Amino acid sequence: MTEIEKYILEQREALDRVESPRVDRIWQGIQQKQNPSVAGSGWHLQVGKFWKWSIAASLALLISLGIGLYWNTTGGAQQVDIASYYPELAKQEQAYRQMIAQKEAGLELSEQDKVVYREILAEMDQLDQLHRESLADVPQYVNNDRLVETLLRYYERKIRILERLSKEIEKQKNHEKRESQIHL
Amino acid sequence: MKRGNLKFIYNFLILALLCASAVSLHAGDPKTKTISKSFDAKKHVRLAHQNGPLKVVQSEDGRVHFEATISFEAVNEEDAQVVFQHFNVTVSELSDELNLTTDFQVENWNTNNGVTSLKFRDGTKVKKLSNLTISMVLRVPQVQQLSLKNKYDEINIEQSVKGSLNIELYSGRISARDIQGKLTLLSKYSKGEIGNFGDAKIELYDSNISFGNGENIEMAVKYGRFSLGSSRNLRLESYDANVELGLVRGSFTLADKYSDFKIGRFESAIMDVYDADLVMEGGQEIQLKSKYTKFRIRSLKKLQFESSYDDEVDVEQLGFLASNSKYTQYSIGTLGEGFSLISYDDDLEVNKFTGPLKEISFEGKYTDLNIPLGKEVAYRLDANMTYGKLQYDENNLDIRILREKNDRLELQGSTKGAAEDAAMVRIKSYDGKIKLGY
Repeated sequence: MTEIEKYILEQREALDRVESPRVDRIWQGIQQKQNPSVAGSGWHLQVGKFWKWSIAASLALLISLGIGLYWNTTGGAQQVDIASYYPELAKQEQAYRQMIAQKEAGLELSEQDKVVYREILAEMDQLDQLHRESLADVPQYVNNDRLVETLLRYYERKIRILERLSKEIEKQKNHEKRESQIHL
Repeated sequence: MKRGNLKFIYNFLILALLCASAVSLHAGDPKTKTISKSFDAKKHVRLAHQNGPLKVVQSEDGRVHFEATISFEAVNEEDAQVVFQHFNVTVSELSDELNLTTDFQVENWNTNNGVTSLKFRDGTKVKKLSNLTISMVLRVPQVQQLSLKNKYDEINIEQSVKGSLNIELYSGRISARDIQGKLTLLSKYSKGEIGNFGDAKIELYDSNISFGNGENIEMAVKYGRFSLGSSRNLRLESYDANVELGLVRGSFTLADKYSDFKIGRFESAIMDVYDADLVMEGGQEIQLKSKYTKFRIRSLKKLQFESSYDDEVDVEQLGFLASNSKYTQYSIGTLGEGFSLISYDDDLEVNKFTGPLKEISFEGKYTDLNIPLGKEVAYRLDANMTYGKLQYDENNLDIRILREKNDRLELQGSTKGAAEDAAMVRIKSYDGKIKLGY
């Protein structure tokens, strides 16, 4: 069993708990919104008004489900994250993203000399390019464990590259310090 | 409208939604179709496959055969037939080439919750398919060249290959036996094992592959790991990889950044390394350019740095060291012939000097030397010190010139009984502690 499969199995119960009652909750919400004072206590409503609202709510729900389905399945330009295809990996992806964001913030990337670190930045570009290629393959290979592994590997590799960059920045600082001591 | 009617509508809508999602998740019945064809063998056989495993086996009748099987689950037979109609293996034959391509004529894949809808290139659509796989078995006799391509699945070559083998694999698994001809491999995010091969051109990206023995090999490797048995000549470009190499019988050229190596014996090597970690059995000679790198070498006749910056060099047995370095630490177990060192703030420690001494030439700033030249070692000494300290066996040295002024020392002489052509020890030091002898 791969790490990803283990992760999915571990999270399965929790994810099922979250996802299964969603439809009921939506309908409860609609009912409460229509008439909070009577929700859950029977059907003492003005028939004509409620009928229109219920149709509107149903349409809105169906449209939103449709839109969700569309974005989930087209592999369109909006798709840049793994969780949109594999909701069970959302937590893991979120954790990776947080770690990357923290590292990027710590490195102050915009402040760094892009010429000095061009090689490592080129590595990131290549990695991003390969990740985009893998994402484009998702609709065709969606049930393929290897694809999922490759998609997640992107984050691990990106973290490693950022750590590498951090070490290089440190080396550069040490080098500059040593050179300034020599001139003193 | 009556309350009962409203309840009914609600219940109906909820039921409809649940039914819709249940139907959308319904796997359907398994469907399969196999296409199989046979051809006369050509010198070059190519196969590009997708959506499933690719297996290559020996053809027993000298002809090329393939069996491509599409399998999936569909909710009705009509949909299955539509899929079958759009599944093919395209074949093109040239005088020397047979090209096979798994052709699943899909323009657009839509997949949600494991359920796939397809729009084919002719506009036809099918919905609610699942677990779609195309497996391919290629039976091929020994041909001059075999080219295979796959993605997100395996390439399994069950026979040895007498000709050349080209493989392109993305996020898959490769398993191949011996290849007598040239191996060309492009692997990204893949794993596997490959037997012995002839010459090779190999490109790996974040892959994990173990290779048998090869001949003349060119490799470019980024991330991941690989192991290679013995080779005749090896040219390797690597980046942040984990590498295990066996014997390199001829020349070994390495350009690396950030990798970890375990290297067997080699004849001679040229290396340009940065922030790497190398553990080597050793060989005759290494010419090096390095920065921030750790070397642990068992035995080496000559170690020659064009430049070294902030390295850690640990050699158990070394014949001769030549280097131009800054901030490098050298630790040498036994040293044979001596060294030639242009140095800035290095540290050189030699545990034991075995001789016979050929030359010691040192020009350095802020570098301390500890050279345990025994009494039995005969040499001529020419030392020029500014600041620092020179320590030598005064009882064993015939001094010819000794000038001391302020913080400068000039000393020329030779060990007792040393011949006129005895090995030369030249020391030019600025603010260093130099110790000759025990």
